[in-house]
Amino acid sequence: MEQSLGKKLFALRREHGLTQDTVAERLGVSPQAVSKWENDSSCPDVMLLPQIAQLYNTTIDALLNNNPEPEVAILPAEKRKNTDDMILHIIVNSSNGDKVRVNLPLVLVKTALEVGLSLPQVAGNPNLQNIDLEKVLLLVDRGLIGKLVEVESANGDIVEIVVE
Amino acid sequence: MQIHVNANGRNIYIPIPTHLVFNSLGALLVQKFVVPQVDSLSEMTYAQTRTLMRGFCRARRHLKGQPLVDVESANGEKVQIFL
Repeated sequence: MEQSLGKKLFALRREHGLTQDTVAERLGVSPQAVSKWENDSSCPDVMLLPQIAQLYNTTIDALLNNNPEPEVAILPAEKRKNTDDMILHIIVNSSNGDKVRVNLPLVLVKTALEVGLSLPQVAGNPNLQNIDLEKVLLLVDRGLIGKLVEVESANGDIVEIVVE
Repeated sequence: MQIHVNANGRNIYIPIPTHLVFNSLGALLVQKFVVPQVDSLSEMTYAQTRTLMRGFCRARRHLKGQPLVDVESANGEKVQIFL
C-alpha cells in the first residue's frame, strides 16, 4: 500500500515518542505546520527535509520513496516493541459492505490463551477456524509483524489478522 | 472505556468506569449473569474471568484510548469501543 509523506511523518514521530510541539520546536516551525504536514494538507519545505530526516534518524530518500513497504517484516530484537504495546487487529470486510475491526491488545490475547480460552473472533469465524492463534503469537514473539493472515472466502468476505 | 454509537445522524457517547466494572466483583457478576447466557463462554470459570479482567486492566494501562472494536455497517452506522 502506498504511504503518503504525511502518514510517514506521523508514524515516525509516534515511533520516536515525540509531540508535534517538540518537532516544531526542533525544526523551528509552528506546531500547526507539523500538523498540516501529517494530515497531508501541506508539505514541508525542501530545505527542511535534511533536518527532518536527521530528527527521525532516516534518510530523505526513505521519506520521499513511495515504494510500498513489505506487508510482513521480521524485526531485529532491538527494534521489537514491548508485547504490552502491541495490538492484534482482526479485520473483516464483508461482501455486503460491513466492516468490522477488532483491535485486541496482544497482552489480552496471550492472557486469554494462557487461561485456555479461545477467541470467539477467531474460533467462531468460519474463515479462521483453522488458524492456530498460539502459533501466530509464537511468530510474533520471534519478531514477525504485519499482515500475518489473509483469508478470502467464497462469498467475498475478506478476513485479515495484522499485528502491529 | 468509552462506547461511541453513530446511527441515524446521532452520536451517543457512553463512558464506562473501567476499574468499577473490571474487578473481582465484576468478574463474579459476569460469571453469574453473562457467562450462562453466552454459548461460546459457557465453560469459562470464575478464575478465567478474573484473569481476563486483570489482563484487560493491564492492557488499558498501556493502550488507553485505543479503539478496541470498530464496526461500520454498509448503511453508515458506526459503533466504536475505546479502551
